[in-house]
Amino acid sequence: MVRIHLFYIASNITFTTAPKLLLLLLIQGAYNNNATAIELDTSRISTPENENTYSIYDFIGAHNSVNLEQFQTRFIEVRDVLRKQAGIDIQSASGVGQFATPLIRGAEGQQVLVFNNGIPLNKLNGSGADIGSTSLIGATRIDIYRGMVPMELSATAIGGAINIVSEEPKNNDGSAGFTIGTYGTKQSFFSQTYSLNSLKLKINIDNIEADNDFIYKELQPTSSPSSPKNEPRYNNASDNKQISSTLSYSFSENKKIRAYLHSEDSQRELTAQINSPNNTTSITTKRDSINLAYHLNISPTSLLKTDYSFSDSTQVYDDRGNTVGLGEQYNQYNSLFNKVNVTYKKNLDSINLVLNQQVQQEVLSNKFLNESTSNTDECEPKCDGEFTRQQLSTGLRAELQLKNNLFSNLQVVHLSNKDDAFSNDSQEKQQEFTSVISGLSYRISSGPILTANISKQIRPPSTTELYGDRGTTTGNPDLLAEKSQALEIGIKYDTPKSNISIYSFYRKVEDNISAEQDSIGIIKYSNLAQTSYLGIELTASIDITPNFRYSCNFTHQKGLIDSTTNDQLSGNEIGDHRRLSMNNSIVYSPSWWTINLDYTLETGGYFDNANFNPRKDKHHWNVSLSSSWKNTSFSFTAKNLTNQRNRTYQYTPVPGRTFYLKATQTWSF
Amino acid sequence: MILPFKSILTGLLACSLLTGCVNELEDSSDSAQQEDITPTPEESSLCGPEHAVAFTAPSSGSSSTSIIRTADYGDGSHLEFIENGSITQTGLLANTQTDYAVAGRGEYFYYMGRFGIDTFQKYYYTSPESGLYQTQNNLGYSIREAGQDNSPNATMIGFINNSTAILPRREENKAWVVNLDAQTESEFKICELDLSEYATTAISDGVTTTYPPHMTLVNINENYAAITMQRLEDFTPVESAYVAVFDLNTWQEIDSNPTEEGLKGIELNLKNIQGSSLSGSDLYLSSLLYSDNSGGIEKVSLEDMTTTTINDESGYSSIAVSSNGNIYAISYEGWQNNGLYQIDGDTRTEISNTSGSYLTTMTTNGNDLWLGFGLSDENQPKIEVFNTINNIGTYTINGLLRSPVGITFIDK
Repeated sequence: MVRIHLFYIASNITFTTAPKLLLLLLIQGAYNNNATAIELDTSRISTPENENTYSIYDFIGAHNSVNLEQFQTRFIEVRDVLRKQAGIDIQSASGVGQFATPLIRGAEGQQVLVFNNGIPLNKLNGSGADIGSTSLIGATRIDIYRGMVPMELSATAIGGAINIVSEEPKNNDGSAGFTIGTYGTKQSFFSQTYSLNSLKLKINIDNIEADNDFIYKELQPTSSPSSPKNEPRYNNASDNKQISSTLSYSFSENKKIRAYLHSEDSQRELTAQINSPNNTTSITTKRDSINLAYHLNISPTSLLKTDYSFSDSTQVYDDRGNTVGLGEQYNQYNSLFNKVNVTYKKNLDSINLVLNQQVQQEVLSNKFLNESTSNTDECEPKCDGEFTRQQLSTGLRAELQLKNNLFSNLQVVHLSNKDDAFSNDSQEKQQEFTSVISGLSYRISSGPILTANISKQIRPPSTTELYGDRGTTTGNPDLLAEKSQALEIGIKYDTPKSNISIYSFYRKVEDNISAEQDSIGIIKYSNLAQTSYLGIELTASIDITPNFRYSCNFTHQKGLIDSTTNDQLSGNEIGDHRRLSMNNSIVYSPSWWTINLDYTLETGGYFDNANFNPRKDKHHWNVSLSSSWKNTSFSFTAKNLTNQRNRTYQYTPVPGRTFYLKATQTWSF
Repeated sequence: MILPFKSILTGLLACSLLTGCVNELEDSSDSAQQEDITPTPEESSLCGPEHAVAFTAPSSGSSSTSIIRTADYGDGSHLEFIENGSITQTGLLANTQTDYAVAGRGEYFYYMGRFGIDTFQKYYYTSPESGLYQTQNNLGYSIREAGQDNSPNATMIGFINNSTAILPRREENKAWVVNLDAQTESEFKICELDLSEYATTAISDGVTTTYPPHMTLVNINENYAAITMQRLEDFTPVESAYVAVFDLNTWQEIDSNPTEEGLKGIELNLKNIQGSSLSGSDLYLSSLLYSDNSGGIEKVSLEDMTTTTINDESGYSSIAVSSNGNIYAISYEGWQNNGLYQIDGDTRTEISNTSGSYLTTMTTNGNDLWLGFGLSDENQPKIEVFNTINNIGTYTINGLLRSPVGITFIDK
């Protein structure tokens, strides 16, 4: 059987009304009547093991999945895995467990959504995803969607989405171990799976901490502000404890429940521009999340999946008595998120139809703990704030086989946001949006797959952008959603010993939302610019011998400010973006030992939109040596052997060489 | 084959363990290791008669070059040179940080990093990117004391003469009097002006918090240096703002009301002072309260140490007085909603239909008024120059890369 996920060329059309959608479906249906035999992968519908109604294979675009098994024996963070992927850049503060956020093809912040087993790390009210403390213990793969995202995950991720997945276990095995590394890195972890007939259980525990007190050259040390000194980075530690569990039970061949539970308790120290041992600023995060899913195979060709996600997080920021930021803050930020996600997938011989309905609600509330009137009526209007966003989305995706080697996807999602800022009727707002993605793919004989797709999507403004925070940010209720139109073409060719893919993309974003400041420092978000991103990505790997593998990826992209309210910046490169990145790695595994050697090159780009401050080139060599003896493995990892200190943020120093030793014991029964 | 590899592996593991105990240096050059500077004892640093210097007014150069400091929030800042109404150099001293102050004097200009930056550098106009103060970090002299781990946040440069200036420091109790001709950093700070009496204290939930005087502005004439303080508590103007006046000959603070106990300075009617301009002995201050955009203009006489509110039609973010005595102020009506007005007592006259514009900065040079327009839907970043004799615009400087946030002049 030919799997539908092997082929796609995309064509995307935007519709704003239901009649247009129906018309398109009729046209598509008429076209399909003339198609030859359909070879859809109906097994994806009828098998209860299939957890999702989508995958990187049967959705449009240059998506890929990273199997994390290859990294199990060595110390690695999520940011390290993602950094090796074409088109992905990581912006991070310094050190293990500290802040990191991904960019996909130049898209950033709220344009890129990150999920942990379907539970969003971004806020529905709007924020970039912080992957710095995300644990990989128990995770089995990372799915990466570039630019175009299945509606079951999100309809607003105009830059793409990343989903960290813990697949349900198939065996009874476990692992435990520890890592020690430079600058106080200590990790202990435990993972156990249990599989008994219909019951499958996995429990993961991860405890990682790091001092991150690396030595760097401080230009303005407190002891002698005009004489640089090598000194440790103070107050830069992270301490992260996480426990997660995956549980699934199959009642029958057609019914299954699955639960993913996750609990996190983390603390980060926060550095300051002035590097001082007296700085004690910190942010503490406690987050409990759960995802419950019920799979029902209604018939051999239809599946109903119902998901419920819940996340409750509390962050406390404390810089009292310190010199960071405003220096008097002791604030609590609460987030309560609920999401119901219902998907129905039906195979109709020539077409897979997927219907999706989602209801999401998130309540963000701020409390100012050093304000005696906090959380009381007397505090209004100065201090406490509460934002509620409800999002209702309805989507339809058709996966069609038009001819033997020609396939098509069409996804239309209509969503509406209902906001309530500060629990104030005057700041309630409801907005409606439509996103459309569709695609076609074509396979040349049994060889390369040609793909192309276009899309038209939106990213609604966040509640802070719309309503401000009653502090230094004033709201702009007239904000328009960011509108993205993208075109992607590519070719992919896999053989048993090698694979190669080349994709080029063009993405235009209108009504970019950016912050502006006025003459007294008040910030307001506005639709300021139109930007475009043009790039090419190459990913390849080859097994030179059975135990020697070379892989590489290459990304060249240029993000341009096409037009902006400031005429002088039109034509400039967008700041904080890399123009070229390249990763090369070899893996040599002759017997019981394995060596991994990576080289990363990043060049081009500026820190600023005015293009006055160029970013320095980055050359990093990483090496990892691991050995396994029976059920025990050891690995030694050295990162950044070249000891380069290129910074993501111009005034945030980064560590140089770091070393990690990891020991892992595995067992099975 | 296995044994050598085991040896290698063992060696690597041993190295990693050993190396893990040793911090990697970013720069092992000897120059990076310096002796710490010993802080100067506080008692000996206060200004006294021995530090007296003569005031000299800046020359009103007819062939002046203008320096525009421009900035975009979140992106960066830089300087642009203007000669004969045109931009001659751009992208100077470009940085992703934006909180700087620039001030020209003679053929030199001074570039000061404010909150968190805390640097002070001097440049000659022909070499606008070669700092004259030689320090090992190439950033110029520091506004921070050795051992200090908070930002003093010097806000403004007030010239007494070509060699001496006063730096009000917002987060400290003492302003600095500095030597602009200093060849070494130890020569930079001459002495300090103590304003600790103006610090405020607030008690909330039994916790006592002391706030510095929040000195923000300094204005100097031939007799006096007037330092204006906002005196905020938790970023809110609770207590009265004050102007402390120092005698340049003795560096003693003038008691504006010697018949009464209390603070020596001039208590102001308006709070949260944003801008100042000195005309002879009259100090004009603009006030803006962010809560309701109210405020006004207050006139302080350095002759008799009295103060009068002359206009309270709105809050004003900036004020300037021209050589012919005209008073101009930028009103603040809302976010990027300003207007340029000539203030005449309790009335005001809008200049050149500027109401509703985003006006960022303003300064006078003789009878020229330089007005900065920030980037907005209506305007590109630009400077409009008005003749204050007739309030008519004489020319416009277009093509600024970012919104103008500071204007100063140097002589060629």
